[in-house]
Amino acid sequence: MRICIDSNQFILALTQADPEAEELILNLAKFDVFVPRLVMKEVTRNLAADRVDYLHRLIADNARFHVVDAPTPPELIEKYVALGLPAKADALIGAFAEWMEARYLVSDNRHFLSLTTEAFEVLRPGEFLQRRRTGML
Amino acid sequence: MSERQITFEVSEELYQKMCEAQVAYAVPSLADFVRQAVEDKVYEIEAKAWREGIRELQRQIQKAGGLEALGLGETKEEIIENLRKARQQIFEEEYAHLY
Repeated sequence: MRICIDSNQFILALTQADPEAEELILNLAKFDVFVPRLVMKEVTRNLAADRVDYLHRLIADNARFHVVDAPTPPELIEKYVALGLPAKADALIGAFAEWMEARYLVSDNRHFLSLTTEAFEVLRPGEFLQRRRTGML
Repeated sequence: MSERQITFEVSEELYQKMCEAQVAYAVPSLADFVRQAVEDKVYEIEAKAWREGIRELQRQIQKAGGLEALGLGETKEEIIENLRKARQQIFEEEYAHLY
């Protein structure tokens, strides 16, 4: 099962600012994770260089974690602009999740949480973890 | 994906247990059962290494001043909003010309 993770989950987990994001990120290696390069750039933008290298090494050692460099199809981005993500940067994340055939996008971004699409579900980390615990994923 | 054929030896006792487990879990063949067991073990090792790595990264970030030092805000809402602004900025700088 493929999932996409928003940048806010990584930062909330790494700074221990949110226990649910933290639990999600600690357990991430149990899922097939796909993120666009854009998300990793957001995550690493405020980290010191040695910690960026450390994170990149962790990801490289995790066979189920995929950072995708290929450009997301423009027509899918337009689709997500029309679906209610007027900022193209946000629309790119929605489009990417559909393009990767992800089943879930996990985020605390209210713009994603109000999105309705047939392609995937947007869940807060707590909802995702609860479904996992109850075998409902 | 390319495949490699390997052979390995196990004790008679372990072999019997493998056969019993294969039947119990309704895995089509013993080879499939072993492949699945090895995959599970590799994933388990990777998951443990990942957790330890994330914990270490958390320690490093905390030691360097934690959330405050990252300059992304103090509350969860501020962090989310600031990251969204960062996304927009990176998009404008590096991706907008593609779309």
